[in-house]
Amino acid sequence: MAFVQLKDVCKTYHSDAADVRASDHISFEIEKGEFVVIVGPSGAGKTTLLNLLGGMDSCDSGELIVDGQRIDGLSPRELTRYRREDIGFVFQFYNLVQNLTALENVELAVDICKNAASPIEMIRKVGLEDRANHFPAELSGGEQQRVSIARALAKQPKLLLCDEPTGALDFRTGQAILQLLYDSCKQDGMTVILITHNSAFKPLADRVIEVRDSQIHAITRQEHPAPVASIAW
Amino acid sequence: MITRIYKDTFRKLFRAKGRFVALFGIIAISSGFFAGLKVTSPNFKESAELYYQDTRLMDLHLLSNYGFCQAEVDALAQEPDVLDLYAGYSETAYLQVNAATANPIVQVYSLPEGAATDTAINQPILTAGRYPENAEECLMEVNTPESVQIGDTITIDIDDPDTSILEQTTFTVVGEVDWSMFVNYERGTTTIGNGSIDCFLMVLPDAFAPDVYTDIFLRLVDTQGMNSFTDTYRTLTRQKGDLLVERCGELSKSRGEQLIAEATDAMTDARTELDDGWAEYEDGRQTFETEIADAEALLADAKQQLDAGLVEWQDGNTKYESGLAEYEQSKATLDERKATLEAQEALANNAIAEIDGKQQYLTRVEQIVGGYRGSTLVQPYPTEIQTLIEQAAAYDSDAFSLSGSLSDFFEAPVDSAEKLRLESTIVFYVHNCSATLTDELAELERSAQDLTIHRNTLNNAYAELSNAKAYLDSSKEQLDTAKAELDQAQSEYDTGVAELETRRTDGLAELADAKAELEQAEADYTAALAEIKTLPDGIEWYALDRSDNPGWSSYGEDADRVDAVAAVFPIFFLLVAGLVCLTTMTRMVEEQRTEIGTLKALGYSTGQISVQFLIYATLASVLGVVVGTLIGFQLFPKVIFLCYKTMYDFPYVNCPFHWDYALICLAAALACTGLTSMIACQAELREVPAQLMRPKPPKQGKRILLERWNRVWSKLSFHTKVTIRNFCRYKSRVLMTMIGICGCTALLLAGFGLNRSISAIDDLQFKEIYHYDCIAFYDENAENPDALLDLVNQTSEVTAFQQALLKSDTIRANDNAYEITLTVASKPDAFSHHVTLRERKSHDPIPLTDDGIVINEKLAKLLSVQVGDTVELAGAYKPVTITAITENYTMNHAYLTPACYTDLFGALNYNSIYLNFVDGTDEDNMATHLLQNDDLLTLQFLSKSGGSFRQLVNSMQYIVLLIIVCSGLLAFVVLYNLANINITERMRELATIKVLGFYDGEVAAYIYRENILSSFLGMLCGLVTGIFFFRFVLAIAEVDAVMFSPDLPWYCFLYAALLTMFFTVLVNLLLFFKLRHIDMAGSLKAIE
Repeated sequence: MAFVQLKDVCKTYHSDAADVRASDHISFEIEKGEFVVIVGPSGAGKTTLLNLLGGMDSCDSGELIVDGQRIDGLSPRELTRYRREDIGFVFQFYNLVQNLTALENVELAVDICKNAASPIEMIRKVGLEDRANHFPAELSGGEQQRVSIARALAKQPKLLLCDEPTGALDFRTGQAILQLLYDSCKQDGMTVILITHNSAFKPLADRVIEVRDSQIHAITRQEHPAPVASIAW
Repeated sequence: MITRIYKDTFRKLFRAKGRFVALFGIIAISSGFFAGLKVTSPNFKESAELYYQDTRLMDLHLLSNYGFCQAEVDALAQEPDVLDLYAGYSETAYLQVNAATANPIVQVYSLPEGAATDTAINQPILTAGRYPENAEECLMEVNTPESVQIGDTITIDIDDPDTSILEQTTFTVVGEVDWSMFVNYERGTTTIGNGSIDCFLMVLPDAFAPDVYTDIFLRLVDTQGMNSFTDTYRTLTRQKGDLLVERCGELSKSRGEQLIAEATDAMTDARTELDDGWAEYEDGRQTFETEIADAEALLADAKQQLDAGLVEWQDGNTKYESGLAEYEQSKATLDERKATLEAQEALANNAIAEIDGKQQYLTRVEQIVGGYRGSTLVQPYPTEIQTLIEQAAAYDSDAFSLSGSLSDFFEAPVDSAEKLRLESTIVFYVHNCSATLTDELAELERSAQDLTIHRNTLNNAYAELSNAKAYLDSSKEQLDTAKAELDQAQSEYDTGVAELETRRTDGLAELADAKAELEQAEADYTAALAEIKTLPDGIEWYALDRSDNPGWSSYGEDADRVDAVAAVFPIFFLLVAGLVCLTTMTRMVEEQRTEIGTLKALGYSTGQISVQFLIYATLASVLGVVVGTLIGFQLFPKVIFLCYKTMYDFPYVNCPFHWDYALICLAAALACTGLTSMIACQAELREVPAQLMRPKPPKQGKRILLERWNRVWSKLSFHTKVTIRNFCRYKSRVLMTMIGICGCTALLLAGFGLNRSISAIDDLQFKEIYHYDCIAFYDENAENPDALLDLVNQTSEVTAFQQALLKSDTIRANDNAYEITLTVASKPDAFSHHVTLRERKSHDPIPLTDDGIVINEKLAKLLSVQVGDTVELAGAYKPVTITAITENYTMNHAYLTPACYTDLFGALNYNSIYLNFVDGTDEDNMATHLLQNDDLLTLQFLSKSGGSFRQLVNSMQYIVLLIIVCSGLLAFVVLYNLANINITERMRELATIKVLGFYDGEVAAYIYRENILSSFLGMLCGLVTGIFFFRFVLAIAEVDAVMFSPDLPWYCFLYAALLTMFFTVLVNLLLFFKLRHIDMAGSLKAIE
């Protein structure tokens, strides 16, 4: 059985003007330790998928299974626990707490998690040992994203969800961040799901899931993904 | 086009409903509170003024010691200052009520002219029934005992019928009125009964039958349209009043003439009376002299008779005494003779008896011998025989022994010769003896006859003597009677003499008195004759103005007190509210940064952009002010009026919309919202659009000072670190929260403190300081104050009393002067039974000493003096040193010992008595009992003065309660608003930690830790600030005559802290729902 499994997942957002179906019978599977890229243009339903996978929202119908656990139909509190224990988030805008140092931002996540890694170890791992006691505002964008990744990985989650992690970064920094994510997948066996509108990332992935008009357009399995250094955008 | 963009902006602005409502709420509450409290006092005064104008209340009330005649009334009416006037009558009497309690004292007033047509000066307002139509009808009022109803017939008891001007004493109640002359429950004072008038009645003038009017009520021209609570009005009326009083001589000329005429008539009568008196005196003197002379003659006669009687009695007595001596002598001679005779007779009788005995013996011997002729006896013989033999010895002679013969005879044998011889011998001898004895007897009987003759002679002599004695006795009796009569006559005579003396003395004294009296009357007459000419100068007028109406001043003072409270609280309130508005608006502008940038980029001018914030602010301000003032203008005056309603009889309170205060509020609100937003907007707009459209760089995190101190910092928990760091990061907001909470806590603390300060006075002043039950004021010139003291002393309900002097005086120091009550206790050592003098904090008792004066704390504060300073008392020869400062809360007092007083002022005349009663004494009965004494003027019962004070305190407490409630509301709104800002500002951060998997509770705790910390710190600051604020309010709200208890007990802090904490928790609970609904997807979006 696959590590992550979506079966006929549907999600409709209701508003005064009209109902928007953001996920229309989405089904796919992801194996443990895979580097997955979910790609699609703006408004295709990527973020909805992220929300559903990350336990920030629940689907209207279908099944969502992570590591054998049904995520659909969980109560808000169970969802929170799921986010807390099983999911690591990397945001496009890093979302660091401005008033906490790099190390403290990692500690903030570790503080609420049971099987967390040592915060300072994580900081060291993302190569920010020297800047551990700096505030986010004193760090560059790439450094901030590293802190963000350290914060996500420190929880030792089952899934690492990354929402356009390079979106706010220049090419070179973005590459470094991608490398970091890639390494944590390949070296530590983390299951990484990268959500982007940028098709250039597709060669990196073990599995590419293309989303279009709220539906799965294509799922491609790549036996030999390209190295990070080889891609450009 | 522009409107469309505004529409979009507005949509965004109003989406944050909570903020708008909070802004509106703060403005509404604070403007309502400010304006409502501010207008209360003016409303009170204006309502009163309106009532006064509607009822055409008099400006001056004139009284005269001689009353007013029609001519005077006419003269006054001609005065240019006088608008209109009416003259009337009034008299105090008792109202008969069928109740166990004392009859209430009622003041009967004549109804002003035109009352029935509602055109009168001092127009009473009919609340029920109708106006009287004839002299037998009257109007009652709200204070009239409840047992009296419309339609009832009531009777009044006149105190002194001689001076009464009331013709009618029985009335039918036909209606009930309110009268603007009396605004509270007081009805003035009088000299009858317990001294305070309970209610009034209004009757037609026809019910009175006087020569002159007793009262004149007039309105002045210049005061029309003036508010009578202003100083201008007071000064003006006082001036005009003084002027009229000064011109009394001129205005009352006709009254003077009338008085002279009346007096002259009276003098003529007096002359006649005096002459009659002299004539009567002369008559009396003559009658007296004649009477005395007659009595003297009568007594002289009696004396003569008495003397003659005495001489006569003495003669008789002498004769009697000589007779008696003679009699005694004769009696002695006779007694001697009688004794001799009796001795002789006894001898003779003895001899006869002896002879008889012997003859019987001899006869017996003969018989015995005859008997024993035939028998012989041997010794011992039978007793009789033996006796015979023994007795026979007496008869033995030389020739014959009878005893021997007898013995021989009995022993001789029977029929022997011997026996016979012996027998015959014995018989013979016996016969011989017997014969001899018979001869002796005859002899004796002859001499006995002689003796009998002697006895008869003697008896005759005795009889004669006895007759003489009887005569003597009778004459003695006569003499005694005569003597008794004489004694009687003597004593009667003596009495007569004494009586005469008394009558003479009395008569002389009486005559002398009569003469003196007449001479005095003569002198008086002469004096009066001289005085008549100056009579018009003796007319004195008194002008009373509205401030002399009972309750008028206290109404003004109460209104001022509300004003004093209104002066401080709302300002503080506004400050807090303004601060909050400021923060809110600044924040709002900052939030709209991107929009502003976009608009600017699109080419809108600065003005066009900022005007939308102005509109928003204006909308909130105008709505808030309108709603706030509309409610405040009605709520506060009405609620406060409701509190005072128990004390004052105003029929209505007028609550107009005060544009001035509404505009002030609006201006303040606009300044805090509109102006702030404009300034904030301008600051933002200084940047170029490109910069504006980019997100504002997040505020940089900062290391705080504490982090340098690694030893402590490293030991803190992660959350504590975060809290402290956040706390230091959002300094301005934290500061704002702290100031807001600090302000609210301070308001609450001051409110609670003030509430306690006011309510504590009652117990402190009337239970711990004053112990007396009553002060009885008496006439200080009373001839016999001891009678009053005796009456008090004999009243069993009185447990302690002492005389004192209580007088109003002016005390001066450091260029300040205050009216005080000066008390001189006759027994300073026992004064603590009536009033406790003590140091407020230590409760150390303060003794009254001869060294100086004791004044109360408030007075010391007003005068800025301390112990050891000197103060001057009006009328004293020299300044006096303050020896102590005593705890006291109402009115200003100074205490002196009699010695100290005499030293300062000279003579000391007591004028009052402090009285303590047994618990449960009926004060009405006590009043009636004590007022038996005519010297007693009034009784001031502590329960009454305490009662009215208590009402005042209660109404003040409502105002303070109102303040507390408003402060609480403000605290709530402020907290909510600031916490709300805190959340919206950090929405992204909160969304992020939610995504990170913080449970709802943890998210809340994350932000609450800061909220609670800042609230708590703010509260602590507030508790400290509150102390100063409390003192400040106390200093301002206090009037000169009252000291609020300056203590701030711990429970006030507790209440203020608890209430603040309660609001903090409540606000945090409300925000919890908001936190739960934070959209996590927000964390994914770009920074706005």
